[in-house]
Amino acid sequence: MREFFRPHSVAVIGASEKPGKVGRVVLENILGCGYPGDVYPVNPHGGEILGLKAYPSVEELPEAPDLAVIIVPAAAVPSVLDQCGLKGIKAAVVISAGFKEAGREGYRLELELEEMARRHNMRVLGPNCLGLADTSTPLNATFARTTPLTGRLAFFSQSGALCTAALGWTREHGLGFSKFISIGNKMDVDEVDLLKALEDDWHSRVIAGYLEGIKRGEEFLRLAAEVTKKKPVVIFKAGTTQAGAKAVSSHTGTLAGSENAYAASFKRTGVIRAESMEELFHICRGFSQQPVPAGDRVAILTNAGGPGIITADALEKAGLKMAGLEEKTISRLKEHLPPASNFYNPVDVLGDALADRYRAALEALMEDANIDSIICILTPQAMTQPVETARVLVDGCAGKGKSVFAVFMGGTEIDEAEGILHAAGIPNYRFPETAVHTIRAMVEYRSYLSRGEDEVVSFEADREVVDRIFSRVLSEGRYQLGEMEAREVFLSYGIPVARTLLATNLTECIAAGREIGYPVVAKIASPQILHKTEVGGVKVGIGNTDELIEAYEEINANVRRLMPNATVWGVVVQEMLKPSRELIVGMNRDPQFGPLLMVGLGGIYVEVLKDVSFRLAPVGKRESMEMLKELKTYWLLRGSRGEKPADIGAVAEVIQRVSQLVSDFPVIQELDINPLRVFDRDMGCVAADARMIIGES
Amino acid sequence: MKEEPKVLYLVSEQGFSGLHTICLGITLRLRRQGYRLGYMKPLGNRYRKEGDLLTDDDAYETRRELGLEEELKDICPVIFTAQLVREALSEGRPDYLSSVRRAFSRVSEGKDIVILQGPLAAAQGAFLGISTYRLAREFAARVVMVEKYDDAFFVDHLLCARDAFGDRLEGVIYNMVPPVRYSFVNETLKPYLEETEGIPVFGVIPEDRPMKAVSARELAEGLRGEVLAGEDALENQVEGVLVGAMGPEHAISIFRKRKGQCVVTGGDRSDIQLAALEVGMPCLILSGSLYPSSIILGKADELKIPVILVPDDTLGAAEKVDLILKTSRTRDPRKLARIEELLDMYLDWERLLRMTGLPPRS
Repeated sequence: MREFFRPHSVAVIGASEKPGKVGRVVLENILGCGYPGDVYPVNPHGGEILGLKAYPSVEELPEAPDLAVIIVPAAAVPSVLDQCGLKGIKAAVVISAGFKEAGREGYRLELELEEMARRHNMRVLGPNCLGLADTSTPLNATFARTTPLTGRLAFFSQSGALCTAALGWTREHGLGFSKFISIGNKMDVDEVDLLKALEDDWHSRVIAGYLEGIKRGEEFLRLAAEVTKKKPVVIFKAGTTQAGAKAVSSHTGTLAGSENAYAASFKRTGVIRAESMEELFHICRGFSQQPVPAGDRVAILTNAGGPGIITADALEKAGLKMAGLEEKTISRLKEHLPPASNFYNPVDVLGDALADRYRAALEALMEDANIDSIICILTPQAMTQPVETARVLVDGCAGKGKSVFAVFMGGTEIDEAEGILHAAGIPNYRFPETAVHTIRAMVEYRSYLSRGEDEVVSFEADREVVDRIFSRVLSEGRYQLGEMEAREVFLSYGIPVARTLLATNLTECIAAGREIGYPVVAKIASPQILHKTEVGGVKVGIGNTDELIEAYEEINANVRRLMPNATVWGVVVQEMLKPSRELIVGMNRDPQFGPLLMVGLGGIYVEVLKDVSFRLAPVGKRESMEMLKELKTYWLLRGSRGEKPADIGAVAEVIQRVSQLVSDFPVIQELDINPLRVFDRDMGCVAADARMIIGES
Repeated sequence: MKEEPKVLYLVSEQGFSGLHTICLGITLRLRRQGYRLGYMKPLGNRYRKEGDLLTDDDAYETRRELGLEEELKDICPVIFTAQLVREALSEGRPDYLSSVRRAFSRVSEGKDIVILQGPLAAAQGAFLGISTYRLAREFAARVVMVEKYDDAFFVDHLLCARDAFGDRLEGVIYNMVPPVRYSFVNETLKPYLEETEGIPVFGVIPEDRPMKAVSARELAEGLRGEVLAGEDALENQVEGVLVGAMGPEHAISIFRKRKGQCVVTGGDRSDIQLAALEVGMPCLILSGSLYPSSIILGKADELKIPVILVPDDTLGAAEKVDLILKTSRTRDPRKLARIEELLDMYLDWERLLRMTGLPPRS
C-alpha cells in the first residue's frame, strides 16, 4: 500500500487542460499541494498540460510510475488498467464513476475491471471515488476543491460526497488529517486493507471511518482487534435502521448487516462507535489531540454555575465520575479564588473571572492525583478574556499528562480563542455534552485496553455424532433439524435437554408417555406454528395415559380449528420440569460477522420486553457473564425479594457450550434454545425446546 | 390362440395426486422391460390445442415421450370442454361409450398390456356414460388407485372406491407421503389395509421435493413476466413460493429455512431482494411492475439468479406461482429420471406385475 500514500511518481491518466474537468482538478491538486515526486499527465492528444509534458499513452511513459490516477470514461477503464499492468504499475486510483453503482452494464464492467486487476496483481482504490490524500508526503490526488489540513487523523469514507463535505467542515474547525481516503465501490482496496496499512503509520494517531457495510466481516474482526491495541479506531456506521438499511442495499448492493451484529463486533474489537458524523469528528479530535485519560474521574472548571451543572449531569449519564478533589487542591483553590467561588467539583471561578483566576485554578487541578481529565468551561461575560484564557490553558496543561478539554461556549466572540486552542492541540467544544461524549469514548477505549484476554474453555464434545446428523439432514435436502435430531446435537455438546419424544400418531403418543414417565407436557409439533400456546397447542401437567389421550385430541382439535392449513408433524411429549425461570439462548449466523450469540429473557413477555444481549462467538467465561449482566432481568436471576438466586453459572456455561458448537460447525445457520429452564442455584438448567437450521452458506 | 391384452386402469379420487406422473413412470418401466404397450386416457380433462387438433395435454405428452404410433384421437377420444358439455346436454348427443370402445380396440390391437389413465376423479364423465367405474367394467380392467396421502381422508376415498369398483379394485399406491407420516402409512395403515380390508398396497412413495419443483423459466412463462436478469439461470428449480414482506433481519432467517423457494416481493424492496440473493434463493419475482435498483440486477447476474418482473401485486403473483407449482406436470427429463428412480425404490414391481397377469420378464 506504500505506492498509494508515498509514491515516487504519479501518472494522471485522463489529465486535461480544460477548466472544470476532473482530470484538471486532480492534476492541479497534485501539483498544488507540493508533491515532491514526478508527475506524468497522460492524454491521447499529447502536448503540454499545466506546463508538464503530456504523454499520449501509458505505454509511452518514460518509467513505470508507482501510482496511476485514472479519470477516463468508465468503458475505457479496464483497458487503461490493462496498459498500466503491462507497464508494470502496481497501484491505481480509479476516480471514474459508471460501475456497480450505475446499472447492469456498469456492474459487468466492474467485474471485468476486477479480473484485470487480479491478472496484473495490481491494487486498486475505487472505482467511483474522490481519490486520496496524504498530508505528510504531501500528495493530494483528489478532485476536491478543499485541501485537507495536516493533522494526526487518518480518515476513510465509503461516500465520496461526504468526503468533500467533511473536508470543508474540518478545515473550518481546524481539524487536520494524516491521510484522507475515499474508498468508493471498494472493488479491491477496502476497510480491511486500510486498517492494515494504517496500523503502523506513525503519522496517524487515530483512524476514523464512515461505513455503510463491511465486505470481509470476519477479517475485519481479526484485524480491528489487533489495530485497536495500538491506536483508536472510530467508526460511524450508517444504515442501522430498517429504512437506512434499505437505502444502503439499493445504493451499494450490499446488505447493511444486522445492527446487533455491528454492535457486538465493535464491542468485541474495541472499535469506538460514533452515533453521528459530527460525533465522529468530535471524538477523533479528542483522540488526535489529547492523551487518553487514565481513568474516569473528571474535574470541571467553569465561570458559570449552569454549564457546570449541565456538565455534571452529562458526566453521570455517560457513566463517568465527578472527581473528588484532594484536600490540598481545595486549600490551594481557597487561597487563590474569591470566597464566593465553589471550591469543590465543579470548581466555579465566578462570572467576573479573568484569565488569572483560571490560571490559578488550573494549576491546582493539574497537580491533583484524583483527576484524570479536566473540562474547562468558559462563557463569555462582559469582562471575560477568552483569548487570554485560551493562552492560559495552552501554557498550563502542556506536558502534565492529564487530558484537558475546553468548552468555550458562544458565537463569534470566542472564534479567536478557539483558533488558539485548536492550534495548540486542545480540543474545544461549543457545548459541554460534546466534550463529555468524547471523554466517555476515550475512557471506554482505555478500559478496553486494560481488560485482559477472555478465558475460552474448550469443553469435551462428540463432534462425530453431530457430523453424522448434519450429513444425514443435508443429504435429505432438509435445512431444519427435527426435534430429536436437535436434541442429540445439543447433548453431544453437553447441553442439557429435557427428555422429549415426537409422536406422529396416538399409538406413539401413548408409548412416549409411558417411556418418559408421568407427569408430562404435550406440545403440537408443526414447522408453521411458532407460538404454540396461542393456538391451544400446549398442555402441561398430564398425569396419566387417559389425560394424555385427552390432551392429544384437544391439541389436535385446537390446531385444526385455528390453523387449518398448518402442516402437523405430530405431538411432542416431554418430561414435566420443576418450576424455574425461563431464558432464551440463541445464535444467528450474521452474513458479515459470523455467529452472533444471543441471550435474553424467555417466556411469553420476550417480544414485549426485548431484554436481550448479543456477542460474537467464541465467547469465554467473562463475555458470557457480561452478556447476562447486560440484561435488565439479571437482577431477577440474582433473586429479588426473598427469591432464591438462579443457577447463573449454569446458564453462562450453556452460552459457552453453544458458542463452541457454532464455532465448530459453520454449517449451523441458526439455533434457538427457547426456553432454557433455569433452576435455583446449583440445580442447573435444561433446554425445554430447541430449534436448529443448517445449510451451506 | 390370440391372447387378450391385460388392462391396468390407474385412477384417482382427487386432483393433483400425481396420477399422471406415476402413470408415466409405470408405462416407461413396462416399456423398458419390452412389453408391447398401449396407453389411453379415455376422458381428457387437460385442454391442449395442437394445430387444429383439440386434445389432452397428458395424452399428448405421454404419446410423445413413449413414441407411440397410435393417433392422438384414439389415445384420448373424448375431451372435456365447454363445447362438449353443451353437446352432451342437447338432443341427439353422440354415443361417447362407443367412441371410447372403438378407440380402445384400435389401441389394444396386438398389445400385451394397455394402461388407462383416469381423469381428475373416477366419477368424472359419468354424465357422458363413460365414468371410470363404467369403463373399468367395460374393458375388464384391473384398477389401482393412486392416492395422495391426506390426514383427513387417509383411507376413506379408497374404501368408497372399493364399493364402486368392487372386485376390480386390485390395490393402492400412496403418493406424496410426508416424512412424518411415512412410518404410520407403512407400519400401521398398510398392515390394516392388507390384513383387515384385503386391499394390497403396492407402493408408499414419499414426498419428493425435486418432483414438486418447476423451473424459473416455466414461472416466467406462466406469469407472463419479463426476465430482467439472470437469463442464463432460468433452469433453476423452484420448490415453493415465499412472500417477502418481512423486515430484512427476519428475511434471511426465513429464507435459510426454505432455501429452494422463489421469493415474491415489491420491486422497491431492495433489502429483501438482496437478502434473497445472498442466501441463494433460486429465483426472484418482483411485483407491481416496479423496476428494481440496477445494482440488484448486476448482482443477480453475478450470482446467477433470475429476476422476473410481473405486473401483479405481490399476493396475486404469489398465488399464481402457487398454482403453477401445484398443477405442474412432469415434463422435464430430470424429473422423468427421478420418477423412475422413486418407483424403483418404493414400488413393489413384482407384486404389481403378478397382479396384472403379465408374464414376467427380466
